[in-house]
Amino acid sequence: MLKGLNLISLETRKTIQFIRLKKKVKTVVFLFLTLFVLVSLSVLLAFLWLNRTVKSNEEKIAALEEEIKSLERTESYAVTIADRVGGVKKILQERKDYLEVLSDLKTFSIPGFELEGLELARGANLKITGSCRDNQALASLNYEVEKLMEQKKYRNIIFPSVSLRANGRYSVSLELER
Amino acid sequence: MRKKTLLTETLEEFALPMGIIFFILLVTIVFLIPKIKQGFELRKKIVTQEGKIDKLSQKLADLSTLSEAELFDSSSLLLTALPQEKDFYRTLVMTKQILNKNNIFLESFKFAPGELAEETGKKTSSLSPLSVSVSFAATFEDFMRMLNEVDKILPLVRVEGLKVGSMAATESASLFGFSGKMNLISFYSPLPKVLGKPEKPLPRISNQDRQLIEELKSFYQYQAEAVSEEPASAGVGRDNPFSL
Repeated sequence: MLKGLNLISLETRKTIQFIRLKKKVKTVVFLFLTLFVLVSLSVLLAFLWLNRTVKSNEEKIAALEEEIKSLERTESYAVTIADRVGGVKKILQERKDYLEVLSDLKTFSIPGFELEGLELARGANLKITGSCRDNQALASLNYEVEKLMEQKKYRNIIFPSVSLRANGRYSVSLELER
Repeated sequence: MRKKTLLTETLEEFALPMGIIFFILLVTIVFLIPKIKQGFELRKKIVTQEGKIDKLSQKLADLSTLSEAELFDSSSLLLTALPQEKDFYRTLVMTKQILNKNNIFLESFKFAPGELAEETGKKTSSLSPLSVSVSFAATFEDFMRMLNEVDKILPLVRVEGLKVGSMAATESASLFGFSGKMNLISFYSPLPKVLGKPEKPLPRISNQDRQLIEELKSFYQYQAEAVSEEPASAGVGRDNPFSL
């Protein structure tokens, strides 16, 4: 088998390899430098743009705030309205319809029945105390109460007590729950 | 000796590329990375600013659509309905006026005004009540008329409980005179302290709210001045609210 003869000396070969390596290193460094310059420029430009945008936005905000401040009075009225409306709604919602309950008192305008006391509690529940002259008045009162129950205006109507007094009158207490 | 010469030669040849790489690394660490970080922070700031600009623009647009005169009228009306200060004198005068107007005899009254003022923006609850306990004598019809009127007056008042001690019914079965005690509650509420933050959205006034304001316009406004029919004398009015 015939082997080729290498006429280039070892030293020259090393020199050539060194020159090649130098070229490679130069190319890599050049590329790296180019990339660095490009990235640096991009970063700088982006930074400048961002800074400018921040300043421009700050100016916009200041201008808007100034305009809003000039309408401060309108805003204060709107805030007052929103606040008061909530309170007014609450008061109106919590009102009890005493008129309707008291109107029902006319139901108990029965001959022989005397209203002696009345209490309208917070939940518009009506407590009535009175007395009936005789059995007939008591029966009439009971009849009126039953009629009221049929109207279903009250959740519950209770006779907590009915008693006979020494003078022959009947003591009656009545509760109308809404 | 020859080896040393080769090493020196190699170092000389690569010194510039190495220097450049070192310079790039140094500049990247000292300048580029902090700038990139700052850039991200600025981006975040811009996003926040843009959000704020949107809110402010929206608020400005909302404010521009509102009529200052109309709002002033509505807020004045609502402040009459629900005053910002506890005005016990006005409550007292108003109570007396309502009772007088409806022929109800005022036997006595009792109420505790308590602390007179509460600083705006320091409110603890939305509504503060001022309760007046009134003993009266009236006919049933007059009392019903008065109750009807109480529901339609400004400042808003609520009847909170009614106790009737004696109620005379005739043989002809008609209810007439009775005497009793009732609690009338008026309310006040200090104004909120919300102005000062421009980006805070403008509270919305809904159609329902406008309807409520329209409804309140039909209510009767009691004026404290209305009772000053008698000649003014020392020791009346605000100086002595109990002198009716």
